Order: sequence, then C-alpha cells, then structure tokens
Amino acid sequence: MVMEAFPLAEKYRNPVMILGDGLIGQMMEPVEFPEHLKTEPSNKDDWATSGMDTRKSNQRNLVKTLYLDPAELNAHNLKLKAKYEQMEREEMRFEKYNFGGDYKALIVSYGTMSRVCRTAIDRLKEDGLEVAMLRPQFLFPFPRPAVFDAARKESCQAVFSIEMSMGQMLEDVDRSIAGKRPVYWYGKCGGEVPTPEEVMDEVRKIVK
Amino acid sequence: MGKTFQKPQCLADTITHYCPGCTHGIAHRLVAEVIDELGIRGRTVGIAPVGCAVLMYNYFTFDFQEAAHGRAPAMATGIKRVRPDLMVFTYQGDGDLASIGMGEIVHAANRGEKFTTIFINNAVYGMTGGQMAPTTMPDQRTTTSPFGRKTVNTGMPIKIAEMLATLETPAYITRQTLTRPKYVKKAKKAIKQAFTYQMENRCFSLVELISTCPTNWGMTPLDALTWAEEKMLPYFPLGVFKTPEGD
Amino acid sequence: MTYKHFIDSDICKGCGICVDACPKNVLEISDKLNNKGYFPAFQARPEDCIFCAICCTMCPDVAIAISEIEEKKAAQK
Ligand SMILES: Cc1ncc(C[n+]2csc(CCOP(=O)(O)OP(=O)(O)O)c2C)c(N)n1
Ligand code: SF4
Ligand code: SF4
Ligand code: SF4
Repeated sequence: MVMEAFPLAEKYRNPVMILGDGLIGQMMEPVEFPEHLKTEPSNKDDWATSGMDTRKSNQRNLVKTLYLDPAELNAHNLKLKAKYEQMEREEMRFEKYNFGGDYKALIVSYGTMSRVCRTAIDRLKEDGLEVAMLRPQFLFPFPRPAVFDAARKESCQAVFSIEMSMGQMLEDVDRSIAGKRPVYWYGKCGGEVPTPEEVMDEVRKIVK
Repeated sequence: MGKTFQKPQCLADTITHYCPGCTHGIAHRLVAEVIDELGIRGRTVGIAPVGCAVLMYNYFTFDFQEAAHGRAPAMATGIKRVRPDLMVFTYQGDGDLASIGMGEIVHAANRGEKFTTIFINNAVYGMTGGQMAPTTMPDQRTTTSPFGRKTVNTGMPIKIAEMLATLETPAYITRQTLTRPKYVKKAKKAIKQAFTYQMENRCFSLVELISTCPTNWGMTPLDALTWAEEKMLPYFPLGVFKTPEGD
Repeated sequence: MTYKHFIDSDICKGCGICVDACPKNVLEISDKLNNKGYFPAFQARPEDCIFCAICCTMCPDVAIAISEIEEKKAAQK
C-alpha cells in the first residue's frame, strides 16, 4: 500500500500522506516488498520544470500556487475541488469482513487494531453474535457511502469506531452514518493495544 | 569607446512590481545576463522565495518553481538530485534565508548540494512592511524595532557568508553589493563564477548581495545606496570567503 | 560606429540612480509623468553621451538600452 502512494501522487499531482499506527511505524513485524513499481506521469511535459531543452520546447513551465487575482484563485480552487471529487469517485478503498450474515453490529477499524477486531469478530461468531467490520484503507477519500450502507442494514443495531487513538476517526464514522445508528468509540493510546476480549466486552455491552 | 546594451533574453518584457530604485531589479538582471552568457536558459530551473521576489518567475523566461517560506534550498536539493544536469538556483531574501529558512540553507550547504543561491541581504523583511530581520543593523529602525535594533536582546546581525564559510564542506561563498557600477560588475562576475562551479558539478555556491530597500528604510533610492555602503559594508565586508579550491 | 541611447519612459520608475551614476551628467529626471505615474529619466544632454552603459548597469528596471546604428546609415550621415 505504501508503494501505491507513488502512482497515486503522480496520477493526481497531489501529495499522498501515508498514515501508520505505532506498530506499523516502528516496523514491529516483518515487511514484505512487492515488485518494484515504476511510475511516469503521462503529461509531465505540460507542467514539470524539467528544463526547456529536455522538452524541446520554448515554452517554460511554472510550478506555483500563488494566485493574487481573486478570479484566478477561485478558478484554481474549483480545479482542486474537481480533483478531490475525482478522487472520491475513483479512489475509495476499504475492506469488508464478515458481511455475509445478519450482523447485529458494525465495527469500523483500521491498521493493527482492525486485526484485533477480526479475532474478536471470529470469537463472537462462535458465541453466536454476528458482527461485521469495514476497514477503511484510505482516510481520504473516506468510504462514507460504504459505511452508511453497511450501518443501515436492518439487523445492525450499533456502530463502533475502534481505534488506537482517542477517536480520531470517530467524526468521520459519525458523519458517514448521519444519525441512522448510534455510534460508539472504544480505544487505547500510548502504545497499548486493546485485546480481542476488550473489544468483545465493548460490543456485548451495547448489543445483546 | 562605446558599448551596446540590451535586455537579456532571460528577462521577460514586463514591468516589475518592485519599488523604484530597489536593487532586486539589478540582481535579477545580473542572474539573467549570466544565464544568457553561459547559454543554459534551456536547462535552468529557478526557485522563487517568499518575500518581495515571490513573483520573480513572472520576470524570467525559463522554468521556475515557487517554494514555501525559507524552503527553497529543500526544493532545489530535490530538483538537483533528481536531475543533476539541470542548473538550479534559489533566490532568497534575508527574512527567507536567514530567519525562517536558516536550517534549510545551513544543511544544504553542509551537504554540498550542487545548486546556487543568490542571497539578497537588505537588512529588513521587505514584503511584509519592513520588520526586523536577523541581518538588521544595530540601532536600525524597523517597524518591529521602532527605537532601533537593540543588540542586548536581539543579538548582532548574522553574517551568513562568514557563517557558511566555516563549514568544512567545499563551497563557493562570497559577498558582493550592488551600490555602484564597479560593484555591480564584480557581483556579476561572482554570480557567473557560482553558476560555473555548478556547471562543473563542483560545489554548493552562495552569492550574498548587500541590497537596498528604499521603501522600508524610508529613504530615496540614492540615499539608500549610500546608507548600504556606509552602514552595512563596514559590518558586512565584501569578498570571497570560501572557494572549492580551499582558499 | 554610432550608437543610440534609448530610455523606455514607460518602464522607467524615475528612481534617479542613472542620473547620479552617469559620469558625463547627461541624464535628468523629466517633469512629465509617464503612464505609470512616475517622472522618468531622459537624456537632457545627449550630445555628451559617451555610450559607456554605466546607466544601464545601474538601472534596476532595465529601462535603458544602447543599440548600434547600422554602419550604412551611419556612413550616410
Ligand atoms: C510560513 C510563512 N511565514 C510568514 C510569511 C509572511 N512573509 C511573507 S514575506 C516575509 C518576509 C520576507 O523577507 P525577506 O526574505 O527579507 O525578503 P524581502 O521581502 O526583503 O525581499 C514574511 C515573513 C509567509 N509568507 N509564510
Ligand atoms: S519593499 Fe523594499 S525590497 Fe521590496 S520591492 Fe520595495 S524596495 Fe524592494
Ligand atoms: S551611456 Fe554613459 S554617458 Fe551615456 S547616459 Fe549612460 S551613463 Fe551617461
Ligand atoms: S535608473 Fe532606470 S528606472 Fe531609475 S531613473 Fe534611470 S532609467 Fe529610470
């Protein structure tokens, strides 16, 4: 996924920020390197300051963001808006887990935490409680429609944002659900990882 | 004994936004003349700073990028490392280079990044209305030192050229000025030398130019030139402080 | 060889640096405004000009140019 950041940055000419949790950031587990990716933007001659000789052109390229004329700046912002909208159309990335049955609760979780949630979901299933999980892979564009649809399922009574943070994703989840279901947060900070049991207890407290 | 004189090809046919008599204009022309003479316009990339020169890309006719305040050396490092064949230069004021961007320039120089920096030292933040800069002279009045710069709590003006020259990494570091025709000619020579070292892939190069800001100094352009000579040059001596040959 | 000294009065900002720098005291500041609202410099005593280009060296706005007048025209004079 880290490697994917580069072609995306080229496609949109936009910085891509890679967010990891503490465990990923400190590489506490083995890392796998996939095939090397090579990316070349297709239209770089239109903008890159590669030197006019390289482009065999007498037209110079400028990379700048300062627009002093309000109309020009407005047009620039509209261009950026269109770009963000294209990202929302084309780049929503998420993974679904245990969506098969009539789940009673939906967990939204990312990173290392989502793996713990997976274990918790498997154990709850053994106990006869069906819980689904949606794991956003991109924070922007956030998979709002997918979270909304998943939460709206008739059997689903509550939504949990389970994080190794004080609720950084809670607002995104809340906003996606638009009041259709109650949203709860559970998490821990500072390097402590909630256990599957804690997650199970948290779900059981609300969903019977 | 006559001479012809024409606007360099590297300069666009535009009226600049600089105040009357501001030496930014002379510095621009010298850079343009040097790039013309070296025949490198087609492979030069300039980096504009934040400061009065923020719009400088409008006045040149080759590739340009605009950097965040003080970050031009980081941008130049990236471009030069990816494309060592390009001629890359930053053009930065004293607020940009010696204040918010101090860390950037020190480490770029110390890493020996092979780009060129033109450093405009006009002893104030020009664009934002004449606030005190790290290079403001003792007792100089600015909008943020209305009673004159007190060195007791703001220290002495920072001598960038001398400071960077103490780094062990080979570099070309010089200070010039633009106050008189003979100095302008020397300044041009220094800029040409700096770009030449870059063409030879030798070293980082920095040309500090003692400049004027008549508007924020509250002086006529001519008085400003005199003030720069009388007040700044004794403290900021002209000369070459370091060459890659080691002298 | 003959030269032509030309000040683009619409680019000039009337800073007076050239007036001060000229060794032959050729230049002065006009009392007519240009279209940007500045009083531009002009050659008050063109006959004294030695085309040394010192004014051009100092002009921050590259408002001054000196061009060679073609040999033929010069010869005809
Ligand atoms: C991050 C950031 N901080 C502050 C500013 C405001 N700012 C604009 S220009 C400037 C000072 C530039 O002064 P200097 O580099 O001396 O250039 P001069 O204007 O004198 O040519 C400042 C502080 C900014 N644009 N960005
Ligand atoms: S404010 Fe000062 S540095 Fe900026 S253009 Fe005017 S005279 Fe030049
Ligand atoms: S060319 Fe020389 S003599 Fe002629 S106006 Fe300019 S400075 Fe004066
Ligand atoms: S130096 Fe240039 S801008 Fe200044 S008065 Fe002379 S011609 Fe005009």
